[in-house]
Amino acid sequence: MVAMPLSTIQRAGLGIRLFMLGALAALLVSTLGGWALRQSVQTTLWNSFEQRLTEKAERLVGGLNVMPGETEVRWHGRNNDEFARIFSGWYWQLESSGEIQASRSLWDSRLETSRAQAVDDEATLNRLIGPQNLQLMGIVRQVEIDGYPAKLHIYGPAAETEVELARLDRILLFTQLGLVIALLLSSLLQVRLGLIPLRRLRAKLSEVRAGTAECVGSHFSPDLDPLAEELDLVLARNAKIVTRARGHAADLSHALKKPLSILGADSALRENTLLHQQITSMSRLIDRHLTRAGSGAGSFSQIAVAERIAGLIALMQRLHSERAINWESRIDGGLFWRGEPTDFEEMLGNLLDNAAKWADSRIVIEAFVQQHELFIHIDDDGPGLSEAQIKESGIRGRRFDENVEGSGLGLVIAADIADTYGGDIVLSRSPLGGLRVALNLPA
Amino acid sequence: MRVLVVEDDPELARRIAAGLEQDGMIVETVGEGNAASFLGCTEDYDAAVLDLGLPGQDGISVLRHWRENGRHMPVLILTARARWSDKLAGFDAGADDYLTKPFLQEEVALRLRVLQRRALGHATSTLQAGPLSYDSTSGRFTLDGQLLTLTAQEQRILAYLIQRKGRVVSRSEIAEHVYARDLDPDSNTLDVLIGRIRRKLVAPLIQTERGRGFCLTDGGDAA
Repeated sequence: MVAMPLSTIQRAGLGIRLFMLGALAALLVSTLGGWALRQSVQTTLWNSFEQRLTEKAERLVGGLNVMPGETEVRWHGRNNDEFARIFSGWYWQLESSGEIQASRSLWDSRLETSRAQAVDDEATLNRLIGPQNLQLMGIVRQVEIDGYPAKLHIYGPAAETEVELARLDRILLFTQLGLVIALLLSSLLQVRLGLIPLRRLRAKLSEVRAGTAECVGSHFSPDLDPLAEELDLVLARNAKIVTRARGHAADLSHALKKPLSILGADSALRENTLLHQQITSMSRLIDRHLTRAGSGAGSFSQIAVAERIAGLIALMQRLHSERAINWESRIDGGLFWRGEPTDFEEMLGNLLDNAAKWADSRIVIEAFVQQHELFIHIDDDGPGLSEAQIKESGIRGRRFDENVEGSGLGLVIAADIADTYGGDIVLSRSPLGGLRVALNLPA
Repeated sequence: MRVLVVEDDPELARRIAAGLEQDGMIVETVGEGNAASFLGCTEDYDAAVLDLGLPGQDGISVLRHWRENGRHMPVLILTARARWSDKLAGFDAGADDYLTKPFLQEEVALRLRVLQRRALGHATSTLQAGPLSYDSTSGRFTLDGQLLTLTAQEQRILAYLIQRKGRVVSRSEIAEHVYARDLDPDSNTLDVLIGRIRRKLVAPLIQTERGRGFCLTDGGDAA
């Protein structure tokens, strides 16, 4: 039972935690403040009421005497005040050696003074139920007249103080409620304002992740700047490790390709088909893993899609100059994609080269952005793949992977890089009759 | 065909050179970027095979230096760098072709021949001079449709002349592009070889321009 709220609090965000703490403090302060204020006012009201009762008691004591030859203290005062009006709420009752005497206001009823209870531990005021079930508060005075003792009980309507207290309670309720709301709003504002530097830090980190910023930087707040500095140090260290790893991968690639080249160039081994196949296979594996190791890890920049593809088309026209292919690029000049330029060239280079190898005479490239995604379609009029072949290969509608047989290393490399950016490659039948390769990248 | 091979791995350079020489080319090798940059600017090569990862100066810089100094010989980049960004950089620097390692030796020779043919402005791989026909891809000569048997040296001289048909080629030019650099162009070795080729051709296709050199024609003038 205890573990549940604790775990909930532990899972709660920083904002909720701070707000809850602020709300708790606001509730505590307002409750304690309200209670103390009410206690103080109540004591004042009771003291004032007691004072009134004491004054009345003094007046009543003045009317007490013992008739000669008697032992009973009797009241012989005037009967024209609040004690004279029947059931006025103001009563006195005199208990002496004889019959109990009472004010005219009590008429024929008597106060059950034995049932009186002190209003609290320290007060001298008592509380009891009077005629007509009215709540009364009063005091008791021990008096001695001419050597004869008597007890004088004086009570007044408790409603006089109760009404005041009820009014105070209403005022307190509204003011405390207002105070609590104000404190809660203040707490909420504090949390929101207080967390602004954290939100700025988070936004900056997002920019670093997206590649629009090199580092987190500083000037968030004196508390957060050391954290930002630590983050930058970690990022710099990671970047260094990645650069070193890429360098090692490139070195390893070159180091492996040299002996492979020597083997491939050896006239004695040239006739060995198996050896040649294995050399080619190893070289392709090296290329693929080198590309995979490096993709997405470099510096991002804004890439002009049309311009970059135009450059690659020019290269393809040179590399495939022996084939009369009509290249058609339908790309808006204002289209940009943010990423690593070498990755973009690697993806498009492989896809365009693949199209050039299979196209009969025409290749069309289209690019557009839709719902924060960049779509690049490369259509050729080559033999392509039939619907059945595409279904059989399992390529359509899902991420391209290395298990797809006969898809070509270029497509696999392009798919690997696209995957690094959260994109994918989908193959389908082209309207030109050949293959459509659709490269989708988050824009 | 005189080719400069720029490759920092001595063993690989030796094998590439051996393969190209077997194909009838005159090959010089260099394994350092600065030296390659200097040689390409000072010597007259018909083509170059250039690695990109070189000590001293990288291949792209070497190529840029050649082009900036007006050296327009065809350049085949032969590198382990297979990324398209490297290929783009290579072509931007002035490369004519790009081949990635590992490679087939035959492909290097074939691509060099195609590059040279294009550089000389020949649209097809078959060149004709009267009854003489030359397939620049295979490097074979036929005379009236019959395969012409030539020695390696004879084949180089005749190939150089037929690629420059109708143009007078000086003795020193032939010596420089067809022989190793230490051949004396004034020696009579070249005359002996030209004489042998003339006898094999039967028809008077090679004209001697006194004091200027030799010129291969269709043979119409002589006839």
